[in-house]
Amino acid sequence: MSVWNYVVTAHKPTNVTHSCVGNFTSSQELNLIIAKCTRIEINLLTPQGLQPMLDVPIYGRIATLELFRPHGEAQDFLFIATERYKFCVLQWDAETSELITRAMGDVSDRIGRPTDNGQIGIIDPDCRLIGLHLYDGLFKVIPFDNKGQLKEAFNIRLEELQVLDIKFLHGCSKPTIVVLYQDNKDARHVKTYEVALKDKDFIEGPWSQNNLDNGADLLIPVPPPFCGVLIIGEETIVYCSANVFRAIPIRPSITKAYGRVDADGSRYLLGDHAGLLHLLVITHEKEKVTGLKIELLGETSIASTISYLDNAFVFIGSSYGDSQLVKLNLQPDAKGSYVEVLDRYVNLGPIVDFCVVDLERQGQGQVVTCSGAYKDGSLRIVRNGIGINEQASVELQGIKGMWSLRSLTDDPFDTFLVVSFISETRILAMNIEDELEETEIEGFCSQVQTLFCHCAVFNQLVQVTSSSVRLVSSTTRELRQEWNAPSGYSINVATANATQVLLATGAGHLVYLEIGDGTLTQAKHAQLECEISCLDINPIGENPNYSQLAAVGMWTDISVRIFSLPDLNLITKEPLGGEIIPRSVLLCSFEGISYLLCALGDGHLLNFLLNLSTGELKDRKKVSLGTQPITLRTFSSKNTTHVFAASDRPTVIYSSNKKLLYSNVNLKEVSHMCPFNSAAFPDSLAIAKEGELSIGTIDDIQKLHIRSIPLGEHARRICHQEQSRTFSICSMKNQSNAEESEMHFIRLLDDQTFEFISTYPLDTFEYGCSILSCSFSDDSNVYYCVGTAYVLPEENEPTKGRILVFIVEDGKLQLIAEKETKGAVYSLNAFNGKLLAAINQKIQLYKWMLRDDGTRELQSECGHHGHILALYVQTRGDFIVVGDLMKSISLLIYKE
Amino acid sequence: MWREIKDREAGKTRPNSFKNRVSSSRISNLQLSNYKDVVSPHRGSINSLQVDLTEGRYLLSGASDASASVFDIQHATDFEGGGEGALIAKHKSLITIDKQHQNGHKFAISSAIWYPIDTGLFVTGSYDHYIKVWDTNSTQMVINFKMPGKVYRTAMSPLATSHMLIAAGTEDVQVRLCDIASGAFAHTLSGHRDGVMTVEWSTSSEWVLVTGGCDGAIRFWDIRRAGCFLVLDQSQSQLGRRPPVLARSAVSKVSTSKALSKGQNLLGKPRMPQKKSGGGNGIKHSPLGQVPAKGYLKQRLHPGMLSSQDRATAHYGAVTGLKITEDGMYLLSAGSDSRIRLWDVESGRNTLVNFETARLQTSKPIQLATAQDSNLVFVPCMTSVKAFDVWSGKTYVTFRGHYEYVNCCWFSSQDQELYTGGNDRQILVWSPARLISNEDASPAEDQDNWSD
Repeated sequence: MSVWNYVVTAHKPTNVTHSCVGNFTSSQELNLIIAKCTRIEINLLTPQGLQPMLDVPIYGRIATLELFRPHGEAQDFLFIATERYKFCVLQWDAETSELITRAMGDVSDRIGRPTDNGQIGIIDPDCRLIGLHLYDGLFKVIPFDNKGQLKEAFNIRLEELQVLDIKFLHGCSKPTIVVLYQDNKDARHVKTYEVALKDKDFIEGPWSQNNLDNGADLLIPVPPPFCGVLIIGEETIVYCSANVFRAIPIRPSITKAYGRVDADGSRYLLGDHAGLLHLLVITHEKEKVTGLKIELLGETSIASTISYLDNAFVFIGSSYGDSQLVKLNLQPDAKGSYVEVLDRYVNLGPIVDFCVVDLERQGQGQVVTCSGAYKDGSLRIVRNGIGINEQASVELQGIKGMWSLRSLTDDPFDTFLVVSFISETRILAMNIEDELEETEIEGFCSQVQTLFCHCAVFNQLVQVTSSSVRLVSSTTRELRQEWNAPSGYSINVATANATQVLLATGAGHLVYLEIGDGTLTQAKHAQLECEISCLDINPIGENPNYSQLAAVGMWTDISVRIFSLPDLNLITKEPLGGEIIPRSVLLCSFEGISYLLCALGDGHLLNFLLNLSTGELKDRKKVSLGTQPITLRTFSSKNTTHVFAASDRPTVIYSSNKKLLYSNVNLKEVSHMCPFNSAAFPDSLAIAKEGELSIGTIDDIQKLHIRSIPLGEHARRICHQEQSRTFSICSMKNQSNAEESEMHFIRLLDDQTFEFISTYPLDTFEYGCSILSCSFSDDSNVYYCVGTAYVLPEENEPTKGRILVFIVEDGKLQLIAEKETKGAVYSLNAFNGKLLAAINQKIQLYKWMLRDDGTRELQSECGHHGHILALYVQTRGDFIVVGDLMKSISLLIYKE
Repeated sequence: MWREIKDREAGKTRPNSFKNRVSSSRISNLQLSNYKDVVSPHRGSINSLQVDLTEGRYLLSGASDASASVFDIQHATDFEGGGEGALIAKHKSLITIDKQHQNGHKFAISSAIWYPIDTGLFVTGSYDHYIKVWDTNSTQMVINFKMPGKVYRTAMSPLATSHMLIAAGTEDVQVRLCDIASGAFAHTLSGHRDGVMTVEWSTSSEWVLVTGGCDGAIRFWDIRRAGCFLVLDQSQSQLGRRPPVLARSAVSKVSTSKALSKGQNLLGKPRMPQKKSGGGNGIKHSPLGQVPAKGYLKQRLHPGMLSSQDRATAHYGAVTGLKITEDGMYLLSAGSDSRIRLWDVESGRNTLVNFETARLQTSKPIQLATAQDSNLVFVPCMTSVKAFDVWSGKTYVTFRGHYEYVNCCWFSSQDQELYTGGNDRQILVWSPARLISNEDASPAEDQDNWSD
């Protein structure tokens, strides 16, 4: 069989590029619609917060996301255009809770130069047309007819070639656009045009304004009653309309996003490149604009989009950091900020570099990414698996088993947690302060180890110890009935459900008891030829309290057997093969399919399809989960059943699309686990680890587990060094006060705590371009090699750089060698015990030489010219693949 | 560059604008190549240069000694050690067709072009009155067309999917379209009053052909219809294309009266082949349009046009070179009046950009080239080639390297390289400056442990 690789998306895009607010799903409901690269998310605003409704993939990156309401419609429609020149109009179908495509089409032109400043898509406020600026010099119009249907699109020639922004003006009798553009002398102007739909042409508009702020980049149309437009520059903000012109100076900043607060357009939120949020107020007398005021509100993530939701709640969508839900307070907090962050939405982008490491040495790779940019830069540890979020923990040594019990059969919550030790049993319960407190159930025997516990019908509890089975009333907590093991035998393993108990005493005796109201009756006894290692009677048939089948794992012949209940007839015997005994069996059902899971003592797990009526086993599959014996337990999360396999590599087994999937849990060694759904910790799990009992909730099943380490600076390159257990990053810090002043560092981080443990500052203008952990031939040490470039403002291409070789000693970066290069070191690779560097257009190989005085130096051995800029290099054996800036990729071979 | 790469990685600059920025920064560094050399086998002046449109790999040249050659400009035939260990790649011709060839041209080849779809065919036009189509692989002539006079320029549409026509400008007043599929003349386009120096297909419509004649006229033809539909007039400028705001009331009146002409417009639908640029062309509002008589005019205009319009000239003297920008929106023309003009194709207006040309060759057709983002136009100006900013007309760079007049240039947007050919029989390569860095290690070691 040939091996195929396939690509799947492990994590949906998280970079929020667009957002808008409107009544999309119903005329009464307010929705926040978020575009994340190729997906749209529809959220409902509720008093509890944002409630996700639908997450839809779109084929193509979203370039425009706009809500609009055609005449006569009760709710908004959504207009989406993608970067591949496709557009669609979506409507919400309340009955099926799905999207309906109202219109779609292609707006590409065969020729035409795509705009440099990104695509612009705008909708006339009176819904007369959709305007698109996709190619330089062309403005595409999609007109609406009277019924709100789209008509055939046409282009209008736009004389302005370098368009920065286009918006529709409000309150115009004819659709009017305002164009912000740059002329070929780099001066910026705005101009208005009326769109004459009949003539398919522009008519000069009512006003224009020349020579604006040189950084003017953003237009904000002001709705009635003021109308006009706000022009946001880097140093000024201008309000402009046919007869009013008002300007205010602002602190130099690049405004990236805006959000309108009031429907009348008197207040706007502006987010700048440093993540500062400002409030812009249009002061007015009646309907005449008298001036502008701007006020700093506080700091958020660097916004790419701002949506004012309602009641001072604002959604800040970010491409460079986590998106946020913030509340604007009337009073500033201690730091003078009016912004209170209520919620954060993880954003991994932009991932500029990553490395794959096995930090916990579990054999499972994790991705550590350099995410975010500027002040929102961070490292993210992404691992495939399920996270347990610990809520509480107690130190408890030597746990041998755990079960949760309810005080009444119908109680939705668990009250007791029975913890069994080698020579005693303790019972924990939630007290009024929501703390776990030791308590007692009088009917239970607490001086011995408990083998099994379960809630039984008629408000009873079952405890199985090595000598007896005790039936206890959960209301009075008194013993109601006891079944004693025959003398000379002790109970080895036992299991129970609400109405049945199955236990094994020595010498292959299998005893089946049935639970009645205060009665325990021995219904059947069977003797098997060898010892029993594990049992299960988890009910998976129609009756949730009674099982028709029992699964039994055997010593000696290493098999698993299915018996019928109550008559204990052998139905199936499945030899497991090998020499490892089964340690835990479990009957369970996922998505309506019944399985028998059988865990072996060496960390392997077998699963079989189980035919409930005949008891047949088929489709045997074997997976390896760890190296230690596994204990299987079911639990439910979000109303679906999952299985927890406790071992040295705890795993959650679940089913998706009728396939069993295995997901690692971010815990090290787990000996026992039981679900513990208490009022204080709903849907939680009690987990026994080495010397500790903890209670935690579980993440959504099948979700990547992401941990963020905010750096406050922009990490550009990362690599991991196994030997020193450190990470090293090239990072960049923007000085907040001075413009364009950046500091570059090489930082060393501990790979467990992710704390900076050492820093090497680079020279001014020196950028860290590449980083590598490697060793050289004839030298046992492992080094960090860093390639840098001197990026001088007057130089187009770096002509100088360095290769720095560091060693980690006592948690410090020590510079061992330094080699100057004639260009930027774009890439570094270890190559047969040597160092291969891509320096501007050249591939250069360096030897690691021992000098006479015992110091080391890099000495160039050979090189290869002929590239334009060798940006990316990878090696394998003697082969070198070079990715060039202009000339595709080329393959080189090294010959001695 | 590192800063730009950083911004692209962080998503600050879009891939598209990163690409444009890189290529324009490379274009701004064009200089005589210090690592690439085309070895010209020609013994006469180079009249025509073209790199194939499919791979961007093979350069075709046509010269006055009746020879045409093909060079591989991506892979050098051999290398020559230059100073300081740098290598100069020599590109020798792969195939040459000259007088010795059994079907070779007798006189100067004025035009050599690739078949636009693949590199299996190329077309040469010669002063011996023949246009010949060659099979590249066998270097055999496949078809030849006998023309009524010296062939000045041939052109094939890069867009065409439904025709395979070679447009030929010759000494004769008629422009002929030679059909490769049938081996016969498909059309003759009459209108020019003198020989046709230059022909160019539109880059926005496969049916539109632009020709420039020695009579100073630039004519636009829709080959599906008889006659030309537009003659460029140097005195018609772009100004006032859109009615100003004050005139709006007047315009709205006009537009009502235009409801009538609208219908006719639909019937005729003849005029603007650039349908993509919208029906809203400026001509309607122009003084030339003479609004009341418009519908009538349009009917008559097409086959013969008004005699006054038909006599319009784009240049004083001959039109020697034409180039349509890649987006199809502008046309650049060069004339023997030593002017370069930039025309708005849709409205047919002269944009009045003043190009700082000193003198242009007057007697020969010249071949212009534009950089891919259409911001620069490369014009052979006597012994030098000048790059002008298209929008301002300012000289951006002057390339001096030829010893005699330059006839042709071609810009390869794939590699950002400019190829020029002139009367000095040289083909020069102008490429972005490449740093010749030399590591302190001995250059001898530096060389040959590597193979490509």
